[in-house]
Amino acid sequence: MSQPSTSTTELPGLPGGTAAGAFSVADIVVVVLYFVFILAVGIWSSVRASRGTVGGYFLAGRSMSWWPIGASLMSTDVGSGSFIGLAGTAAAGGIAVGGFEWNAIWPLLALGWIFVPVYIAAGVVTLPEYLKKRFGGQRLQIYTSVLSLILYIFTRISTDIFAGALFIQTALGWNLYLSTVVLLAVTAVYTIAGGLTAVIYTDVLQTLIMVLGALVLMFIGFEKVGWYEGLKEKYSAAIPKITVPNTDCHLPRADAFHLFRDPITGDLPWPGLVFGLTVVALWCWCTDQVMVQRSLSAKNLSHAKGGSVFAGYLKLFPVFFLVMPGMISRALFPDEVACVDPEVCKRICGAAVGCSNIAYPKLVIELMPDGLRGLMIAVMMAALMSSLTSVFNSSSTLFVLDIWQRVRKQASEQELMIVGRVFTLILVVISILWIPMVQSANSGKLFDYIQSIGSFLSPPIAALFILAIFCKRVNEPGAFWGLMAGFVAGVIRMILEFSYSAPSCGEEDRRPAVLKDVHYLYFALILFGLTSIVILLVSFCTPAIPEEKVSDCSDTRDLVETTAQCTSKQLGEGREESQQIPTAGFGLSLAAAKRPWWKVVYMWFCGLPTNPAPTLSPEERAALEHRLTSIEEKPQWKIVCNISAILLMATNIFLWAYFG
Amino acid sequence: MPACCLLLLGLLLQLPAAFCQQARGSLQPWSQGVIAVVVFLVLVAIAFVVNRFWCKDKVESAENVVSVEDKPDAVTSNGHEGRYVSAAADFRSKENQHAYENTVEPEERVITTAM
Repeated sequence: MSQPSTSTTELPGLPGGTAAGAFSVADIVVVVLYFVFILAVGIWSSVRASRGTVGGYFLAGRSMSWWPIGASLMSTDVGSGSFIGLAGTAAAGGIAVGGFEWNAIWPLLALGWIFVPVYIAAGVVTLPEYLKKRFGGQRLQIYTSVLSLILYIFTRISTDIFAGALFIQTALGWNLYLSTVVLLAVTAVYTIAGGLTAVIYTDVLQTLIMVLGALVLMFIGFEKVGWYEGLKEKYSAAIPKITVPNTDCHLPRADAFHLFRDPITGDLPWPGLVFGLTVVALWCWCTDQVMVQRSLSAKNLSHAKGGSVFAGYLKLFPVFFLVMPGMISRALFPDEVACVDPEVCKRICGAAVGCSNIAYPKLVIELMPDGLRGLMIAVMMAALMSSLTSVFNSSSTLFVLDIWQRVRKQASEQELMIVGRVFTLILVVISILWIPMVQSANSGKLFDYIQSIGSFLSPPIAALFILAIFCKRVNEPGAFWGLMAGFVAGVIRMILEFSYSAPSCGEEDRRPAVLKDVHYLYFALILFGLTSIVILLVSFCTPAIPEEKVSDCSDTRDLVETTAQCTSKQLGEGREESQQIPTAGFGLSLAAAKRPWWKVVYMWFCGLPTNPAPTLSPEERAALEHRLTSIEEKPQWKIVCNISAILLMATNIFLWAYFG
Repeated sequence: MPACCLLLLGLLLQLPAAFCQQARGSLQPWSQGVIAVVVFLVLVAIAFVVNRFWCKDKVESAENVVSVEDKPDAVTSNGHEGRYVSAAADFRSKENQHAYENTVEPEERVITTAM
């Protein structure tokens, strides 16, 4: 990646050549079958879905059950970036990085029990829209939607594309641009046509493939290394032959098999892992459009909660099928995965900082027999596609509902549908064009890069949402200035972080104390506190929002009635809010009109209704609105959800204590 | 855990795995896990009891508020943008929106006679 080249900027392959000829017919057949299945499921769900309306396209018609939601939540989060990044960080530093996965259960439960009821009762489709309803004004909505879009492009999309590219190049040796274009073309077909419904149903299939395939590799790897005891032995002895003299960075960490590490000297200090990470995770799971949109597509609140719990159980797995195989890879191939000499590392994988990123692809090439290698390619593609399609769909949602609708206030639903699809296409093109940029950046520590950007820019948003829900005194100027202060602090740290690169082994660490000594997880916690203080200070110094306008957009547990009227009419917006709650999207169709054939085909692909949308009477509209914003639950399902949540938390605590 | 204890443990862990359990202090990992789960369940039980006992009065006083607010219910059916209490929605038929309404008969069938 540091080699200048004029041709297709290639990532160097591994020594010994992993040419495409190493792949048998069985592998190719498996991969082709995988693509056929995904396309079939994607197109079937596109046809089934009502996708010509805002509610149908962006919220899957509010008809999803708990198991597709849970599977989609998990596979959207575990993308190719996780496969490469988690395994790589585990190879370098041990199992503590698994804390990132196991910590996610708590924000997931907070999502289902605390945040989603508020969002449903507010009747919103996007989270910037919730901020607008809660605070009024425009700048919060514009700022958060633009920031989210930028974050998606720079973190989620770019790292998933890069990780997928790394895998394709090192494990397959295929032409990078051709394979990415084919991949994205396949995903674009059903994402653009079917919207969230197609994305969620294909995510279910991809979760299955991902979990099963990765578990197969895990068992094969464990068998090779002698199970967990053997792993502990071999990992502690996994030292590369070529080391940098007078240093000890070739040694595996002494606390490699512990989750809780020293607060000052640890690479992932335990207060940062428990508290700082929770802040970032709260942003990712509870206040970010990609994850929340899935929960909002649920039939009712019980299904949303069930989806959270199911996703939580699924999130227990990645430690076993990603983190531990990363360590197995180092134990089996220490000279390549754990290289420390910058010259050697550059030769092996092109990054002088280290080659831990090749941990997972190396394992796939070396351990998997014929046919199963094709399965692992399918697994990697599944991880990549499930994350990308979700991000494309959510970015499209944000753009259409928060930016486009602001610019063109009287846009019809048809226009919104077309704009949404065109924007997804634009994102696909951007993703392809992003590859050379990601290749040239120094990406020796991929996972740290994702996490550090996330931890610099997201804590202010998490702070804002928590205060917005729980503290009624917070008002719009407080929210805005708090976000600005947090943004400035985060950007300063980000600029510092990228101007001083991390030292290679043996190099002196010349970075300023603020970078060296304050771990990025601690910084996330500090930023969260700072933003909260600024928000509260400015809110108390400025006039409050009148009580009745705020109560319905806040914590709904105090309300005895199960519906809440949190429309922006109360906040004095004054404009026609026919699209705020997509009531028209759930109506019935009437008789068709005459159209030329090409228009019919085009409208079928885009899922646009060929019939005019029916107008609902005020009572029908209000009844529909009531159903959509209802947070009632049947008592028996409420108990089932609560008990499964408690079981999940107990399992999670057991795992933390066992591996701590 | 103070840093010095961790350092000592770090040194201990360098010993060959054959005669050293990877355990903090003297606890096996299994027992660590079980103890943590038990502590958690006890906390959950305490929270449940507190919730039941303390929030019961709150719910009772809130129900009085509901019965007062139900009075305007009678006038909400004419497109009033007020609150639709959940009970009203349950009376609607799920099959046909207009199931319980009287449909107007066409004029021709009505035969009016003098007196």
